[in-house]
Amino acid sequence: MKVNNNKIYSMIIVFIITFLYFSNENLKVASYDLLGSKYFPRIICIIIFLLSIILFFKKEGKEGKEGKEGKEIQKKSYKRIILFVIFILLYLIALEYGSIFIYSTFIFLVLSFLILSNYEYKQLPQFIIISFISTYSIYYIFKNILKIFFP
Amino acid sequence: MINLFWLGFQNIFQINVLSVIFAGTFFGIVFGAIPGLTATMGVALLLPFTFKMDPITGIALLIAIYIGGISGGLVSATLLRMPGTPASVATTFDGYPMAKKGRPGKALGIGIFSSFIGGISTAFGLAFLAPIVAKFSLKFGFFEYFSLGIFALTIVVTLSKGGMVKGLLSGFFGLLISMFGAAPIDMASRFNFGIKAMKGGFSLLPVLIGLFAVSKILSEVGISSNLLVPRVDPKDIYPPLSFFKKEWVNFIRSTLIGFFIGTLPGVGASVANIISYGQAKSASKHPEKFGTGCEEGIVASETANNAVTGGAIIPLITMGIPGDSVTAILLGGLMIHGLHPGPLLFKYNSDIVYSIFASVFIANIFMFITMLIGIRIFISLLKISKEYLLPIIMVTCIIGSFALNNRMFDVWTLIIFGVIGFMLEKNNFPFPPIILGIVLEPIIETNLRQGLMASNGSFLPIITQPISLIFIIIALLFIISQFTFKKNKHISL
Repeated sequence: MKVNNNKIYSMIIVFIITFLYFSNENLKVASYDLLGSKYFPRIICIIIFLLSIILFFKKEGKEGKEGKEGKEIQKKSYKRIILFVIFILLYLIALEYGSIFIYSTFIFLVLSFLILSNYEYKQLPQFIIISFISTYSIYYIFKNILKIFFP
Repeated sequence: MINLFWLGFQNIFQINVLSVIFAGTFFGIVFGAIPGLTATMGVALLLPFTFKMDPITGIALLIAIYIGGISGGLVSATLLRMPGTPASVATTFDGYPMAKKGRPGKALGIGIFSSFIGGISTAFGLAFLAPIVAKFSLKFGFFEYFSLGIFALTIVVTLSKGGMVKGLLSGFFGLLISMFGAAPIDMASRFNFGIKAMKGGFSLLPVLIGLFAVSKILSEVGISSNLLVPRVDPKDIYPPLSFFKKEWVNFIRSTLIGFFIGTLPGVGASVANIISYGQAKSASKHPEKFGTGCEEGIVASETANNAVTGGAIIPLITMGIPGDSVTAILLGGLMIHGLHPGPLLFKYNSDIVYSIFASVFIANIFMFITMLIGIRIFISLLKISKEYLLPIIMVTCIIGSFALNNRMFDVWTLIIFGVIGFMLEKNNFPFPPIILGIVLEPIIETNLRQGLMASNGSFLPIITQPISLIFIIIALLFIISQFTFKKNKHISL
């Protein structure tokens, strides 16, 4: 059975917005003005809640013609996207916990090239060379020319 | 005023600023030309690198990327039928058929000249109209700004491509994002969940890069690319003089449409090129030729999308209201440099305002020259495989976000909003209303709350102040007209 995406999105939004609504209500604020800092978030949360309910009952497919005309992501590609996101997260965790930028970036690039090329292992030497050049080029440009700090 | 113009050009005519404008234009064209990378993304990516620059150089760089990005979209739109940016969607209608008929050079040439005419004309419009608008906007108080914010927010209705409910949800989602962190007036920290870094809320830049760039990278990861590029004959690029004589009405009409749409907050080039194309078609003696490789269609689309650039800068610098998503980031850029767009910017930072005007002129000239000379390079860039391009762009996004405040929190924000953006895009939630919501929330909330303090809690000035009332009436009329139009067109809300 095909699950209606609108229903899924609607339920997720309702869940998040209910949480945010009560989080806002528990906020302690000083009342300098008529409305106060809780007023706008409260109104916005209520409107989003109501719109989500409308979305829940909306049929999928009548809308979004332009979006559907665009490039559609094939289901088999999702595996690649999820893997790519996992690599990004691992890369960020590595950066967060003090790994050296050059090493972690080099590894991230090689692995990403590999995923995006659909595991063309024959091209691995090429990927390694391009990753090496890219990592050092990025490091040099950002560090020495643009004087940017690195994670 | 002439003196100020002269001062603006003096500021720009320095070798370092000119080099930065040239580099920005080139970078923007490359971003515009590569499908999936947009002018918005280019400006967002390079924004952190302007921190170390002086305000004039930094803003000139961002404007150059903006103009280059809008122009570069025509390359892939013509050669691949893939609009490099949303601003070039209508260019694909006739540019690609013309290229397919064996005249890709002619299609690109018409596009380049049209972009230049649209861009340079709008630069004149910007220079002469912006000071007038600025003087007018000096009369704005809290309630006027609040009503203007509400009016700008109604543009969400036109931006709701994936259906009205999703458009409104996107708009309110944007408003909500802006409410995280310190509230105006009492500085109460909303939605911080006990996380120290959240007390200041999300930085605008990682949110924008996440929504626009990272989400697009994730989408592109899942799509196999088409890299078929036809051969271009360089001689074919230059249109004959008779072409300009034949198309002058189309040029003027498309420029006016683009410029006017640019001045409307939140609409932008993606709408202008399609409206202009539609107008050109309805005014043409041969509407049946549209869509088959017609010169008029390319002129209408490319002139209008470049004409938007000057128009969009007017509400940005005169009222602090962005005309489109790129100018929303430009607004962030101005604020980062300690500049607060609005009528007072003309009073206290007139050198910067007129330098912005000068940079629009220069960037358009550089864009024209770069496009003509570098057309072969841009075409070869389209041949770069995405498997190399996307991870490298991802790394630059991460560095750019970290550089903002030197903290990993911004990088995590980038990724979280990238994934959220990807999920939303997948289910046809439009992005422009989100951006509109993010940038308009502080204007609406701060001005209403301050206005109520000034009026002792009375809401009446919203309708008793003439300018405020006009904006509210326009907003109401706009919403009514949009619903009536949609009803007539039988479009589901």
